[in-house]
Amino acid sequence: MTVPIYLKHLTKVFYSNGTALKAVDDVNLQIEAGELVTLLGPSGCGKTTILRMIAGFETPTEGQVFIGKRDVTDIVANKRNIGYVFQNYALFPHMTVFDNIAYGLKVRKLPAYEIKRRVTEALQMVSLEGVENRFPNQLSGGEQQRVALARVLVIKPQVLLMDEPLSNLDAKLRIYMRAEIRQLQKKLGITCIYVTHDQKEALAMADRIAVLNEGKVEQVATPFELYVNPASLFVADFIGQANILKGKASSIKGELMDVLFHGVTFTVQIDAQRRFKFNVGDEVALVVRPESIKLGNADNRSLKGKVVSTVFLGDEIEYAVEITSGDLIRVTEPYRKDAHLYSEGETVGLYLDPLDIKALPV
Amino acid sequence: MRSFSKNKRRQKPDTALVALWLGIWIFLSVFVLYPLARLIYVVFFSDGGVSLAVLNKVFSSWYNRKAFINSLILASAVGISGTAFGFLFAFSVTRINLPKIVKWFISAIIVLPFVSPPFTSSIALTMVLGPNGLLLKLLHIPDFNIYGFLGTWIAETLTYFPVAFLTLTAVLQAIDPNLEDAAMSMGSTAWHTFCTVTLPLSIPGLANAFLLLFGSSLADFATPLVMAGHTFPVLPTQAYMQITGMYDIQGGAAISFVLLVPALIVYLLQHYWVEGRYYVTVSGKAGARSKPKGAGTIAEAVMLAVISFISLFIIFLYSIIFLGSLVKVWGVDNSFTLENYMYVFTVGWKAVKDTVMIALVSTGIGSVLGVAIGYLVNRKELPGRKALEFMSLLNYVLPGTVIGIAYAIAFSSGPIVLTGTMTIIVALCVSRYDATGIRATTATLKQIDPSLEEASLNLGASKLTTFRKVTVPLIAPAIATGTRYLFVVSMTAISATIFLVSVRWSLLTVRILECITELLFAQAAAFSVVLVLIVALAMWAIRLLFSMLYPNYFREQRGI
Repeated sequence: MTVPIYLKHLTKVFYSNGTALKAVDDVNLQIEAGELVTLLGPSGCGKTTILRMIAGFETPTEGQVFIGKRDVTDIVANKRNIGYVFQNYALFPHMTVFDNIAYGLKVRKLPAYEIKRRVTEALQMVSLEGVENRFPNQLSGGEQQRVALARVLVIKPQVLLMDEPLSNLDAKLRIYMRAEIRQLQKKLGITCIYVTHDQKEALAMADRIAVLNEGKVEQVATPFELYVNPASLFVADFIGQANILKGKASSIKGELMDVLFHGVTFTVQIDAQRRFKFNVGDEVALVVRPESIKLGNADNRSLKGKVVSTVFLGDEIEYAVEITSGDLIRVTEPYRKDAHLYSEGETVGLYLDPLDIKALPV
Repeated sequence: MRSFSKNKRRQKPDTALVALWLGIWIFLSVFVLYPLARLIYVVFFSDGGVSLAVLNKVFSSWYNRKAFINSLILASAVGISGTAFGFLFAFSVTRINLPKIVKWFISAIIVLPFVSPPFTSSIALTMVLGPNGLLLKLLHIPDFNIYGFLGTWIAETLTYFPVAFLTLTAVLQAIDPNLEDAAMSMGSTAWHTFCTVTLPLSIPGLANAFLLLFGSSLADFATPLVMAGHTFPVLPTQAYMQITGMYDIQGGAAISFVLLVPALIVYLLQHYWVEGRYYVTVSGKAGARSKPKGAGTIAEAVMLAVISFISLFIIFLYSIIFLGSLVKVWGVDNSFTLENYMYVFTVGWKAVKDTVMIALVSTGIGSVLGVAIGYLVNRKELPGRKALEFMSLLNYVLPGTVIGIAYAIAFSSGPIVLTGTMTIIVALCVSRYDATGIRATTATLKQIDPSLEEASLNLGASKLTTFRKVTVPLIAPAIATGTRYLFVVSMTAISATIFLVSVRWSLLTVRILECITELLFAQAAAFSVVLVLIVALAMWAIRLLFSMLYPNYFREQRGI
């Protein structure tokens, strides 16, 4: 049976040498049954601490954790029936693969034949058979990862927590495994929280992403929404690449706002909910994705700049352009056979599509 | 903003854990803090107040002042020679391509002093170079006098250099051979590389080895008692003489107290100065490791010649012990006999029985306590962890003579009287020698990611099951190390226990000492051989026990 997870005012303060560090700060989050939510953020943002509180390895300083309708905040880790996959897999080095996977079943005192059946089944589930009698250090990183997964799935947990499970694998295997984990999660319909600092991984796997910064949730949204409509400068900067230009709001009419930036006025759309955050005369940040800028000859509708570096990456060309304000703007253009390659030192005009500009309060 | 003061959650304390924690505190208070407090009281409180009268009286004697200076000279000499020998052996094993058999041979020689009673090298040296000595007769120098500084120095160097060897082997193994490769690729010769890269990188290790040996020599009681004679008094033997010869326990306590000062300085230097100075050259994934580079052909030849000579000499000494136990009167009547062993199993039988009994009980209690302390200090957030760790190592760090005298004072009067019981000897062995177990457990636990224990909890196992099924099997090697050490030193200890033996409980080492003072060298040798055999048997039994309990214990790589 698949259940939702609900985090209510979850807070964790660590005390060391008399100083208090607020690792997790009043986090409220609802994860629907069967959903995969990734917690994404830079290291030290509290994402792993949240996961550890859900698993029961840390006691929250404040707030509650609900699994389904049950408040598990005061329940010890070994009574929660939650699957937790560790970053380093945490396979027991002194036990064989079989014994590792059977561990949770033996604790539950299942009969031997049932244990054997379920271990075999779990190994099939992660497409790893015939390694039952090997020790963890005789397996490759990818195989260890699968054993770790099988070990938690075999106890049929209500929810699955994964703490950067792919960070120790090489790039190719990481991409392969993330698809496989996602498929398995969908097939089992198990509610899953997945911690990562890799935005590509988060974008590729998640139903929704919760972006965390300094213990606080910055935004919870689908990958698409997060990229297109970042709620804060932090999110805009953290997800994908973004140029941030600081201009001044010169007029606001309904959902349109004029922003003056170094002699050029950009008319950008603002949605109704954010309308009240802007006032005429305020400083406004314009978020522009590198791929939404076009280069051409400079005129009065464009920003003027000088190419500082040109990097040819095959599928795209990456430019750094220094504009008259002194800001360094990153521009990427897709590769076309007839593309013009601007050389370093060349003067160019930058054309920004107002529809692709996102205005955020500073 | 929600406030943090209200409704703050605290982890519920575990009753069993708290009880265990309190138990350990009580044990350490009674058997570590209390005796030391009584010792300090005896030294500094006289005539109804705090005074330095006792210390003044003791050091008004020129003989005692001389003992203090001699102790420092001897410790420095042993520190230097032992470290040099240790480095030669360690370098040869880690950096020179030696045949396997030679390496095995060297490690066997290194182990011998660890498992032998503390007098072994002294007895052997006496038999070889003492009155009626074998070599003296061969070389026709009958007036040679081994007793005094020279004999003590040689005997202590041979006893303690394996400690330096072990420390330096670890240090040399940690130096990335790529650094030596780099130096060679820049045109340096092997010898130049050795002088400019390998040796400088070993300096913190050399300093540590020197301090270790300095401390060991300073605290050594057995060797000077046999070898030093009257011309070369040192502090530990002086303290002993003061108590056993002059029945002046206050004076003995004062002399031993003076020993504390250099011992503590050495300990503090080691922990706060040397440890911060290790160059870390291995980190995470080491690249491909190249073949060890030596130190150049000539230097290697010299090194190998020196270590061969030392090795042969050690083997010679041990064979002398064995041969000596099989002759009637060493140097006078060299006819074969088993009388000496008859002596051990009749007159000495009680000592054998008592020693084994004490060693077994101490090992049992001590290894459990060592694991408990190591685990609690490293894995549980309990109040006073640092203080407890410090206290648990205190009896080990301080010289045995000091602890022995402190015990003798503390438990002969007052609220707890244990004089003449087995309890007092066991308590001393446990509180003093569980340190290795604690350290090994600590070191191993630091390498075991807590996520392994969390994984077990997550899979539904209780804390106790987790401890039994995950933690204990993973630290089994550390437990085995601690257990072996406890048994060996409980069997071979003398510096502290000599103050605690009685008619009811006697020790093998004390019997050996009695034989030496009565010039019964053949019997002393027989006792020593029996002791080494018992220790060897116990090593084997402990190894067997652990390999049966934890079959994966001997698996070579443990991964993760």
